[in-house]
Amino acid sequence: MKVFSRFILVSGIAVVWIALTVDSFMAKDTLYREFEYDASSAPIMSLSLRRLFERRTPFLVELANGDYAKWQAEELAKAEQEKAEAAENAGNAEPADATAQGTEDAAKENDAALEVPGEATGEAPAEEATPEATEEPVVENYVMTEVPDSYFEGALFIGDSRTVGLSEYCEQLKDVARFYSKISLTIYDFGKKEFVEVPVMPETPEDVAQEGTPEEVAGDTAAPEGEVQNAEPATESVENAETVAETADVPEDIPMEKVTIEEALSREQFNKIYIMLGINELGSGSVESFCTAYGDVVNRIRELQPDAIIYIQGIMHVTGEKSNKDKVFKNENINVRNEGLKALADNQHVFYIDMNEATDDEAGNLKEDLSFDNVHLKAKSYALWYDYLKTHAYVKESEYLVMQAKEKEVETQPTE
Amino acid sequence: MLQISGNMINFSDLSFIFRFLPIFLIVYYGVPYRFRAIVLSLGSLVFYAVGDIRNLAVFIICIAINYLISFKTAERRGAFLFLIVVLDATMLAFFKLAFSYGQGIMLPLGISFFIFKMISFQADLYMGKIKKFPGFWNELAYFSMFPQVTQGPIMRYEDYLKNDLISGEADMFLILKDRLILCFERLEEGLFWFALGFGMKILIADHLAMMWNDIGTIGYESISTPLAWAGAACYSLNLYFDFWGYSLMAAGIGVCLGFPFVENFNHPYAAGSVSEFYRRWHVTLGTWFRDYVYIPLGGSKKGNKKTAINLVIVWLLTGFWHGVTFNFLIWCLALLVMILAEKFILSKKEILLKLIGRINVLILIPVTWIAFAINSTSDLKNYLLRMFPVNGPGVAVNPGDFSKLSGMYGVFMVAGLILLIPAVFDFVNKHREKTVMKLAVLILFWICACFASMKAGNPFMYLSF
Repeated sequence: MKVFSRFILVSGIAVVWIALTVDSFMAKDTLYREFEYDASSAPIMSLSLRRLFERRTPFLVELANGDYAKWQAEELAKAEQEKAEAAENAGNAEPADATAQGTEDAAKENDAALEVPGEATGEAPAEEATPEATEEPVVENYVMTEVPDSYFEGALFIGDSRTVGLSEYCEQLKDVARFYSKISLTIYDFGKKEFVEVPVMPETPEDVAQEGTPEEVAGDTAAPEGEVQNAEPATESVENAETVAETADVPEDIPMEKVTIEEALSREQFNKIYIMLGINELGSGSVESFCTAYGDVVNRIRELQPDAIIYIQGIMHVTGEKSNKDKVFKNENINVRNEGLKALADNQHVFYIDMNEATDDEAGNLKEDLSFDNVHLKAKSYALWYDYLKTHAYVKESEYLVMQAKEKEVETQPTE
Repeated sequence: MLQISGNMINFSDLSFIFRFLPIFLIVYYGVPYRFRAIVLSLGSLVFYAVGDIRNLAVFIICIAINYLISFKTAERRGAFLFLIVVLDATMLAFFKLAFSYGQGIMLPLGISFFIFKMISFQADLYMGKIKKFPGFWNELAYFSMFPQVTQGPIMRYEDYLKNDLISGEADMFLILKDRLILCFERLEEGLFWFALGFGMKILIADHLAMMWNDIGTIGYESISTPLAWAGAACYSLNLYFDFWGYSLMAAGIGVCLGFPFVENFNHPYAAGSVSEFYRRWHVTLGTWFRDYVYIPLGGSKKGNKKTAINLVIVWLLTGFWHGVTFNFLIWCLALLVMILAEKFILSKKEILLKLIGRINVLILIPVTWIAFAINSTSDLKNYLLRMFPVNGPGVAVNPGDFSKLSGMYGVFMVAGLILLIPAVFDFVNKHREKTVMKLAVLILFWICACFASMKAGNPFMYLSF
């Protein structure tokens, strides 16, 4: 004891070191198996440290207070449920496993909580702006064409940090499109990560009454028949916010909440939805598991947004420098996954586009001078992406002529 | 046999702290004092091999040549001193140039530091500052010692001789129990400094490095002017705490091994002028240039013109030592101009020197660090044009970038700025024997270890897009 008080640092480090090593060793196959661990680059103790970094209790503590036993029971239940779900084999099972979700949410707690681009583009969903004049149930052909800036009014972009960059550095999209984008977002976060900022849904009839009743006025142009009922008041309040915003800038009177993309899509309607996800998933899962998960998400979006055109964007490449020396972030891996994504497109509602055509060099790598960190576009390079989207847009054949006429009008007007 | 990751040579890596260091310390303290120089030499060679196996041969050849010639310089033969200085300097210049302009030649790990140690060693030997010929193991241990081989400090041989664990003065007659106590005392002292440096590196410098990287990701031509200035502050603090933190860790390990504490930073940003700044910044490099270049050239004792020429020589060499690309030339010339102006113009009026000296240190030095940081001339030009937007607005600038990044990293900037105040560090230093302070440092150590664990063995920490 005397030694301990005299040599606090030495003994404090030694004791904790031993304790954590024991802790890691005992839990490496159970509680800590979620951590990827490479013995050549770190001592085993790093597992416990990572657990602590996530502000979760280490194994030995959980063992003592009984939480570990609970965890084991949950694991068992989860495994059984998965089995049951597999047996069910339904189209899309509801994400009912609240327990699993609970632990997973906790796991994500440490994720650098980035600003949700919600505020920046808060005035986005101006659905009336794109008149979907002919609402016919007949399946129409779509053609790829060049479109004016107004095409992106009422469009939604879902993506990771690359799309965050687009939201921040593409002038033309900044104020017209909406972005559900977040650093390190993956396709698996669709129904899990709560980060999209939307107005709190009025729950009681009085709340709806308070909103006033201009829904019918706004509703008819934008809202398609099959729309989820809840969506309208929410959309409406955003529009209200917009008018408030003109004077006060920050709509403080409207309480906001953070929800998952899935939930947000059930509240706001869009006419185009662009997705670019997949770079963060490169290190995990197989091509098949990734594409299956992606397909499930697209299906769900189709259900929630029956009238939206869905664009699956191929994952943007990394530079040759990165691709050549990294084990995971290789363009070959990206290309394989992009092929899988391409196959998901039905060319009726879901289209595949690959913006790499605009940013690749001859070798099929992201051009070195477009990127600083070999993974993201520089601010000025986002224009290439936007131009690509503009020239690779799908419109209904019947609208094609209308659009062309419109385009002419826009051309004659001086751009701002 | 498990493969050892090259990260192990990084003091803030868990493999270093919990694998290499403890094993080394046990052997080092376990053997009789006569063998400690050998243990230090061999351990350091292993360390070097893990870090840079391809250039281990270069390292060993440098040591061997210096060892052989040291017999002659010890006999005070000027020709051999001249020969070895030319050889060492050529070696350094060759690799610096080949690295920057040649294809595929890597800079041997720590060459800038070990070559400078070798030159000072030979000069000290020639001048008779080293009384007794050191012998093979001591020379090898001094040149290669792992706490200093990667990034300094450039410790002098006289400080190596002060190590009473290698000389045996400390424990040669102690019984086991007392030896253990001695060992713990040294570790306790060394770990204190190590933990402080660990904290600066992991908690401040690494986060500011992420911010600096984020700025680069945006592209220098597209940052807003406020962010450009925040970036200059960010990079300046990043460099300072990275290097000061590293130096404290190195000094702490040195203390664990029985060496005296080597001070490399002495609150440079509290300096009143640029020349004072560089007497407080990377002290061991500054004093090296003073003792082995500036003073031998005549220093400031031979008239203003000679002084100015000597300063030019010292600063051009300093620039070259840091790197041979054009930006380092800009960097050292900018400093040279400021130092000459201080010395010959501002010094005439004390108030002027006080005022402008502060401005130079707190505003112009961060600007010079930008030149230090960005080695492409066009990038540098873009960055400076965003700091001083004389050419109008940049390309695709998002004015919200400043608030976004300051929201993410502001807390680390503020922590860094607080630590610039000398009183803060002095307070910690003054109370370092107190139990409360030790407990605080212990907690700091483990918090940093948690952060470090996210980098090690987890390739995705900084790789999430």
